[in-house]
Amino acid sequence: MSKKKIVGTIAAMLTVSIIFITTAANTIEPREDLTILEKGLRIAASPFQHGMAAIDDWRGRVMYFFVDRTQLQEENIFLKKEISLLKQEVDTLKDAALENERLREMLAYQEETKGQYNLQVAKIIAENDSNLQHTVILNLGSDDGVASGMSVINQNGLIGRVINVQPSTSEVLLLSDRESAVGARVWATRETIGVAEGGGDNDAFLELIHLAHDAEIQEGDEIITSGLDSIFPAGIRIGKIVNVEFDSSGLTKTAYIQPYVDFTKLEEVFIMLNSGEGGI
Amino acid sequence: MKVLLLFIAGFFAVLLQNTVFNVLAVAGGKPDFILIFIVFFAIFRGPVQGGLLGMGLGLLEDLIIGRFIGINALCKGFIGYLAGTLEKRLYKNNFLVPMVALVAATFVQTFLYWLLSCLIGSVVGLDKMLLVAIPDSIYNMCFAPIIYAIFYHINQKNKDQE
Repeated sequence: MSKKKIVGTIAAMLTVSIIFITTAANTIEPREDLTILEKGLRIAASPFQHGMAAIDDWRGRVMYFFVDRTQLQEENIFLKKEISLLKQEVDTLKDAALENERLREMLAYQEETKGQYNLQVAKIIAENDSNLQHTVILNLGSDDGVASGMSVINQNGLIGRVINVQPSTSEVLLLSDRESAVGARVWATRETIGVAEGGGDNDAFLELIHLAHDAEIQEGDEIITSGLDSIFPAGIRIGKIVNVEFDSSGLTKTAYIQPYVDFTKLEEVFIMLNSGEGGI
Repeated sequence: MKVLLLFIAGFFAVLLQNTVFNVLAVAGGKPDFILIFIVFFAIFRGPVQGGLLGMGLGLLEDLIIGRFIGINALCKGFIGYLAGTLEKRLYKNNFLVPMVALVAATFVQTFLYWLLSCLIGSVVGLDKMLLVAIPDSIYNMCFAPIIYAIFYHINQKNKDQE
């Protein structure tokens, strides 16, 4: 390259540089008015830019659809787990609320009968609800002062009696068991009418058998314990007469009692510590 | 005619660079296809053509999307010229050469932009600009072999025709 050419090139480069630096320096402040060249180029570019922006927007939406879908799926799994956990929590709370309600009722009953009965709250920890036997296991035993023969009740009425005791548990024969029998009387008339036996099923009626044909008993009568059996204290509510039928001989009749206690929904009970042998 | 075609192609290249290729941005960096084009063009065509193309495309960039008219024109013109000076010195069959040249060009462009910005009174931190230059250069380097292969192929064809 000749010297002349080098000088020419440097001069051209310097000129161009000075021109561009000057224009750049003059355009450093934000300008409201663009040059005609800029305006023209930008106007020509705008449709293309709009089109590209629209395509980009569409692409973004398509991408978002897939990303969103994956996110939604993950969120769905997470939320399902959350729902399941919350359901469990709600169930636990519902349980607690129901237990609270039951215990509140029991506490009220305990207060009500304070002078009369010595009641101890026990929890049912196992059930033997077969066709032949209807017993439950309580969480209290001889260590807690529970003895065989003690009556078991709740705020609604008679449940059964303790039939055997372990140091920390006790077994209760429910009134619904066929082996159960309790001396009964009509609450309103105080008439002692006989023995109420278990129906053999937790949702079956109790039966008042061998009633004299002229026994004064009718549908709707409330039945309580008579205390004459020396097992259950007198005056505990048993249930309500729902039906009275003459036996085939016509000499006796049978009355059916709907127990006040729902044997299918037992959870907490009272053990009457001052009942049974040597009790009231 | 050739200049007009080049102008139209450059016009669309600038638009593509600032619309479609924005999508390719990763970690703050995006490929500068204009720069890649200028560097490779210059490597095969020499400093004068490289410098002119760089200046032209840079000016278009300034006019269409830039703020300071002339900065990109000067930067890209200078890079085109610089890359063009390598025309006779480079061994063009080695694909590593364009990649190294591109990385160097990216950093030179960043430095020049900063220098010129300072000169006209715009305050831009060099550290920030260099931080952007790193992902930019890596990105440019990734595209380099493909685009260089195209240039190389076209150049070979031209040579054969001649």
